Amino acid sequence: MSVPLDDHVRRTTKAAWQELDGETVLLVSAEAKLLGLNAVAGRIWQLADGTRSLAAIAETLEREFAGGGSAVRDDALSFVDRLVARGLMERCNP
Amino acid sequence: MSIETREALTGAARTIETIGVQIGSVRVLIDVDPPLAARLRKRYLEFVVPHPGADVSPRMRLTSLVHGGTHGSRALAFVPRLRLEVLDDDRIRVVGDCQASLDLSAGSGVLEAGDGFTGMDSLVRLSLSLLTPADGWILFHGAAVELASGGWALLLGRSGAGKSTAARAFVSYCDEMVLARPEGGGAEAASTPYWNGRPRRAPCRVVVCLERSEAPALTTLTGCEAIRSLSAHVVRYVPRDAADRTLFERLCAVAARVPVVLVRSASGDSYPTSLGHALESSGFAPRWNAAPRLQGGLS
Repeated sequence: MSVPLDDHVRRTTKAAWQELDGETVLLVSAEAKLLGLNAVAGRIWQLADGTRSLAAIAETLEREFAGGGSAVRDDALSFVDRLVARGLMERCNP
Repeated sequence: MSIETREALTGAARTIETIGVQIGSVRVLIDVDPPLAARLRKRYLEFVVPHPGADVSPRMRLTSLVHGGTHGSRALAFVPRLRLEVLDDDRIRVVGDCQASLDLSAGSGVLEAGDGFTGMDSLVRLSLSLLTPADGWILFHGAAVELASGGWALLLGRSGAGKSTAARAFVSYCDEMVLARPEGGGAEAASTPYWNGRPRRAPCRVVVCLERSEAPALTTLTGCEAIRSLSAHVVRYVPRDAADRTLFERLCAVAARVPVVLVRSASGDSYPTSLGHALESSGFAPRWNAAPRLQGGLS
């Protein structure tokens, strides 16, 4: 199920994360996995602090990664859906 | 220091010696029979604290109930088959070729049965892995080698990756396990007794992950790849979920402060030379071991 655009999203505590060499690195202890996020994914991760709606996050990405074309927005929404499904992000009330 | 005790059941006199061992910032006191004490002194050499007593505050006291010496036929390289049973947050049982228990909260461990030397050495290793994180250290499978420009390179790798060969070719301080931690704007490293280690600390200038490959290459690792490579070489006999995040943050802090490189080298006689050249090309020339060595034997 897709996250509605008006919903706010935030990172859960399931993953620890650090910025390293311009990359966002996630440790998902329960899965014993290290995940590396590229620049766009890392920016989504940073923005998902519960203060913004998914629509606001998508707009920010479209503005900051304008060179990525129209796919940036769709890719971002799809990425958030995947993280929510995986329990790394959650919908929340503002 | 030696004291005489009496067996509870037989009343027989038993002499116990206490050895103090310091590795990194961890101090361990070991109570054993004199024959075992002599072997452990040879094992830990300069890591033995000269005067265990009032001036030493141990983090762990290990006692051997195994007496009457050790199995003389067991070589230093004997690797015991051991299994760990985690009873709770503080208590761990060692079963297999040796039987022992460790209580972190009490700061004590007891070797109950099995080969005294390998059993006690295993308890010291286990203590090291459990106690050093509290002081910010990460325990790695690795060697510490000196750089020509000062400081150390840590060579991390699995068994057979070339750590020991490199440790013989370069000036080294240990070649099986090594400690590292973020310190100020850089990283600090400390040696361990394994193998033939000498107790030293030095700034860590670079961390080198070694792999065997027929296609030699040197790659600077960044971000997730650096952490993935470093974490593959962390020594953790008892994984603890609660410590995962701290370890992760520490690995990231080390990787943010010093370069992490992956060196792939082919095995063979030219390995130390090619590794030395690879390190030199990345700005971290190792100091070569100038001690004379014999190829082959005396005969």
